[in-house]
Amino acid sequence: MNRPIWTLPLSKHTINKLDKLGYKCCEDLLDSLDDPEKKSKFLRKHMESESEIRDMLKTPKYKTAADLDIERDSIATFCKSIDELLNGGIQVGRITELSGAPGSGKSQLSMQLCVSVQIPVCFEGLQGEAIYVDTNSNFSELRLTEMIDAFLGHVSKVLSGPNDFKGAANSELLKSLTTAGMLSKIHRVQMNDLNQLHALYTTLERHPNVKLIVVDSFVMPLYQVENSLRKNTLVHSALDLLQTIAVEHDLAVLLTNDLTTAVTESGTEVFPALGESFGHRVQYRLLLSKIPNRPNEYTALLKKSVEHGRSAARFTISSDGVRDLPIEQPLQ
Amino acid sequence: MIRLNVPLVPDKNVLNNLFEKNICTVNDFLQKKTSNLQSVCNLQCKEITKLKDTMTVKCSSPLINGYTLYLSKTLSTFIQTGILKLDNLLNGGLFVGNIYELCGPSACGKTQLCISILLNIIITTKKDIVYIDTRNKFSVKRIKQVLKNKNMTNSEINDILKKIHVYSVIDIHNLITCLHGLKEKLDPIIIIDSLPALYLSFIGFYKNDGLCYINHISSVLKYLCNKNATILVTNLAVKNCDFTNDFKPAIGKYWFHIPNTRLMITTIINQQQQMCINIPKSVYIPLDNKCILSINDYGVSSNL
Amino acid sequence: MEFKSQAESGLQLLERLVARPIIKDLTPLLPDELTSETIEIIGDASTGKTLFLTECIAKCIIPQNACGLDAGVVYIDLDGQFNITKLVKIIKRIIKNADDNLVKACLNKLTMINCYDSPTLYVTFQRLKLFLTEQSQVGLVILDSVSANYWQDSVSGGEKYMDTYVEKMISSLKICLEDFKVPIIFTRQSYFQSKQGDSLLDCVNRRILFKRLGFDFFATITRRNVNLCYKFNINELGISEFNLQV
Repeated sequence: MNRPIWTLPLSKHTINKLDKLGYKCCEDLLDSLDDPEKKSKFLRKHMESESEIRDMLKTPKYKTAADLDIERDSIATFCKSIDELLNGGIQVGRITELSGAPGSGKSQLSMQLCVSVQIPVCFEGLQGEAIYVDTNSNFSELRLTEMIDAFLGHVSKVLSGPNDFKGAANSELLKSLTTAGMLSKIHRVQMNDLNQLHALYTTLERHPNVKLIVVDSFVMPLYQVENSLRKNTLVHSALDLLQTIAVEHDLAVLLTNDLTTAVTESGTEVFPALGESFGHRVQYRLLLSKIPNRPNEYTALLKKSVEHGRSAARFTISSDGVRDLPIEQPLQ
Repeated sequence: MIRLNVPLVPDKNVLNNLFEKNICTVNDFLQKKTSNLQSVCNLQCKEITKLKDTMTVKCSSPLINGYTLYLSKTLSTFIQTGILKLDNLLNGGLFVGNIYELCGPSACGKTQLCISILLNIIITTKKDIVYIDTRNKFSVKRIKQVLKNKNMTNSEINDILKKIHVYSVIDIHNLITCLHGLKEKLDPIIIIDSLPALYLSFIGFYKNDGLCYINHISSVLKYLCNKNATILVTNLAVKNCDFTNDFKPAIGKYWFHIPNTRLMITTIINQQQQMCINIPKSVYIPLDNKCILSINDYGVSSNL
Repeated sequence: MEFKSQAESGLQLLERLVARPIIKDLTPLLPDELTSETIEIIGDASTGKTLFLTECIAKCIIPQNACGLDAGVVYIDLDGQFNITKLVKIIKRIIKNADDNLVKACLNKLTMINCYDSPTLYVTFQRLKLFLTEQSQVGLVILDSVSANYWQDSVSGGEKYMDTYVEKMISSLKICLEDFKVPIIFTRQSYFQSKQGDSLLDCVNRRILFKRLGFDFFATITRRNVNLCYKFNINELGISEFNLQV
């Protein structure tokens, strides 16, 4: 069976021109491109797209699962139980969604990850930078400063300790870690429309070392869109873009999402907003919530993951950032 | 090939005359009256009729004798999924030459089921399997976890991993190229996880803009099936907008009748690690039977 | 796309005058003679359309001494839903203890065409004209389903209006087959209609509407504004008896 030319991602204009020349299927087109005589006769004016067309028609190569058996980098938080839940932290190359009610710790965890993505290589970190796409003005430099200071305090404590670790020679680098320096590696981008996400490409060109993109919140700019079809297009084009960036630049994408109430036969139920089709496209989904009647205790429920079944972690938010619950607290 | 060329029209000059008159394709040629073609080609009526007949025979779909078809289908029967309850539900397993759809809401275990079926097939048949991943979701880690729990050695695991051919596809054009590239593969087993991920961004753009691609993909899938491919496609189920909150497949009415068999997956509430499968569409399986499977460290299995 | 009919040679004239099997009593839904008729089958997914067609094929290709019509069938499969093993099961249900030779003789009368795009389909219609001239035993042509390539065609300037799309395709098939007077049965999905009306398309003589309510299946035949509704069941063996509903 033949492949029609309109299935190629060519411009309408080019497709029409080829159609007029009687080229309806790619096999005919390739045949003429391979034949110098036919090529000069019919396709002279369309040569500019030749290599493009050949690229489009190149059969993709597969990789065996054995080739793909490589450890992915992940960004650890400062909370062991969340890291364990996620097998080491949030994965690069993939999209992780944080959903939860207001005050459930989404922005806190997002900012914490902007700090922990910078952990130097000698501490087995990624030593990367972060882009924080701020759509709801939850970004707080003050709060980040607190978290960074706590991190730096921790680093100096470890360095002065007896532990001799493999990166000791890098202490020069560690000395250069400063609050201002670390803060400058978190690039805040303000946005109120998901169409503006295209700007990420330029930001990434300027900061090639970015390993984490946070969109906080992903759902906020969509509330002003009333047309549901338009909303759908926006959501999925944004996801197309973010997924492509995540793979091309080998970085982690973190999206925050709200909860919404739906009426069902059995009463009302709470779901992450944006529906099933959004959930379908993220690889990991964490549902954050505050534990009632317990000051400063939160849970993270892993709702979706290929690697693990559903399980939960508990954490607390201190002035230092997102941390494990103190050990003496019995679990339930 | 649809465009007129030298073997179809034996004379080069005649071909050029036809192109000048904008008669470029076989269909253009066959639609023109013989009398008109006579003057364009400078040929006699008899010759034009003969040209038309050879073109018709050469460019039409092949006519296949029913008995020949039957013989080619009885050799290959079905492939067991290795999940007992599912094989029973499916009347034996996955029938070669059929398109199966796994449809369910997000996070219900579609990918898990794909992985388990894939591994079971490799273990029993030692065949290669094509896995088309559209969401960058393919997880070797999970596969190794399942295999290790089946007490396999590292070299056994590695042999299995080598049999999984993963295509990472980022857009719908890419998927089409990939599927056309599989036309020469012998009796392929193809898993596409997932189709809607590539289609969802089209919904709402222009009214039905992605549908032409889905239509073409369906055609290629049918072509592959006709060459004895076995195809498993995952589809997302979305909630109906009305109060029933029932689930329906995410790729509209057109796709609805493409798969030969649709497996609808629902999560069993309160028992998070279980899924319920029923069959709302099939040509040959009694409809509305059910089975319940569990997802655990060993993958998806019948053991509850 | 329209294909004009051509002047025929004396040989062709002679060949088409050879007696063709007459399709009569094909199914309880179509008890009378169907010469030159066009029958439309309409219904949602899994309402039994393809199975019904499979039953019709079985009836046609089975020899007369086993209650068949001994007629050849051309099945143009655009949807890929047809299952040949199902057909053999049905043949074996109708003829008890059918041996391999009998099955072979039956299946030899079936011609399958798989087609994946409309330009090829239109050329294939022309091919049928040549084929039927050669094969005088062919008595029925089936097209399943008419809507299979609608969305692909709409990109390359195809007809947008669904009813007109159906009429265009069926009339080009009819032009190619009109000399042979064979009946045509075609299917379409119930969503594939410009308007949900009771009136038949101009090119259609009868329409059978398939519906499913729970485990009950219904078929409504419309012909010249007369409606008849039958209830039927589907089981492992195929379609079991049709009961007229009043």
